Amino acid sequence: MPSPRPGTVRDATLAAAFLLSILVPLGEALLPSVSLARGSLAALALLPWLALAPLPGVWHDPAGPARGALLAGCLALPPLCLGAGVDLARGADARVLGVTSAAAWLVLVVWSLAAEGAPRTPESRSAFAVLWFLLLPGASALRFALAWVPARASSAASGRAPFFAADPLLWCHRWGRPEGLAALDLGELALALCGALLVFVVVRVLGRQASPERDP
Amino acid sequence: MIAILAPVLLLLCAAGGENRLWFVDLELRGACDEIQLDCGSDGVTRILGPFASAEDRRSSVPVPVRSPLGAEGLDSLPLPRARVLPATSLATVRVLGWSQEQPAAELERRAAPLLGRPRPPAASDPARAALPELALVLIAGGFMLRFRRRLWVCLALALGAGFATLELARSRQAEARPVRVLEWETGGALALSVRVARDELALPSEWLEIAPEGRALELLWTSTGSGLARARHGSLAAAESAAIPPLARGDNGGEPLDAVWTRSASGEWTAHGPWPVNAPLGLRAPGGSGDPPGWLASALPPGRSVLLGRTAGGEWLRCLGFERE
Repeated sequence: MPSPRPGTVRDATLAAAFLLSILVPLGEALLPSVSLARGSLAALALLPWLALAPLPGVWHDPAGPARGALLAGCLALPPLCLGAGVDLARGADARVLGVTSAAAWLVLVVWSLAAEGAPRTPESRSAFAVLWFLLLPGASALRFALAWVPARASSAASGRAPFFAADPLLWCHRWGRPEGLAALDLGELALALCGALLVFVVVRVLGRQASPERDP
Repeated sequence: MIAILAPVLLLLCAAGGENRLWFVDLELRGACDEIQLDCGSDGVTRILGPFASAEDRRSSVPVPVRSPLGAEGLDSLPLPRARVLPATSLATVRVLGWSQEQPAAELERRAAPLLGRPRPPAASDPARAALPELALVLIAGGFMLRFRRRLWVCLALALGAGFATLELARSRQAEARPVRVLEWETGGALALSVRVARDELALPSEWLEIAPEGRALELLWTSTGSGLARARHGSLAAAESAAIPPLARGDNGGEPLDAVWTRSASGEWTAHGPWPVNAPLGLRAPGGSGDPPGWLASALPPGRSVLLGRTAGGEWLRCLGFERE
């Protein structure tokens, strides 16, 4: 059975993310009596991208990691602008929305760069897989578990752990909730960017250490 | 004590607010496009022209000033500043003073208990994306996937489509759903027609409120006497006197009602279903839940019978003291 060409699976994933990112505004436009989103539509547009674009790959794209990451960024831009436009029409603060959306787009591109560059060497691939697991599904599952089974008995506890913003899915989900764009949280924004940059730097360093013969 | 005070406080908090529709006498001479009456932080009235060069008129126009003491306190307030637009026009405008007749004061005198009733909530459907921007995003996405090997093409497409989509989507407006409730009391002299909407409302002739209180208002007024009240992210309520609908237990002499609920003095609710014209009120709607809409049935005074209804046109009725037996 022939294996798919490098990049084919990646392009299919990006196409799926693109379709998922416009699903909510499309559903609201086609079903006027149904309201699907009470929070930010820009966040909802980015969520599928943040979930699918950083998926660990197997094949190294010979055209370089930048191509795939920029393609993901380009494809994500129109749905993000669509969501941001609707958010603005619903009264969102333009400054908060603009800064947050720009940072989220940057997080997406950096995570995609790391994902595209990770298959260059076995070391970078393994490191990316571990970091991806810890910072994306792992952190999300932990946060979900902590929220589902309250860790503290006191009802006065806020339950908001800022460090979870390093997980782009959780961060995006936070500002996508109703009133999530009420104030600009620069700390969480910086943490999300730092998490993405950390993964990118680790992958980059481990990828450079490889000799040309070891390149797949 | 707390148990008694809490509902009373709740009623007071939910009740109608201060009137923001007071009238001043204005004198205009000459031609201009527009007159603006600046009320400072309370808002502005824009009287839309154009006015001809032979214009020489005196009229009573509404201004959105706050008067905590009502009509009696108007004399202590500064008069709005008037100016003409364009500034180069030769017209002269002068605010002569507060109008002798203030419809709000008259309405307050005749219908104070009805004005104190809680206002219905303003409803609106949030803005949503329309098909043009969705089609634009889909087409741009298709082209980007087609030309995925040419990054510069993708980048140009993404930026162009993104900007156009943003502009299109942000121009979408929330669809306001104005709510109208007719309030009256059995044995009263008049009913009160209350209209509520978000952000924009046709200007009433007697009473205007905004929630949250104190927000700046913009009144648009035409020389024909019609106009609009606008407030950004505010809930506007207009109240005007109206005739009491001819409804009695044995006969509906008004318009057909789609749904009717009554409450006895002891607090028991009954759903009666539709009430056609020239027919007695039905005993009980088959399969009816017995629950009227919560916002309409809330904050009603205890120990009094009530009738709630919905007309075929979607307007609501609320009558205190309606005897169903």
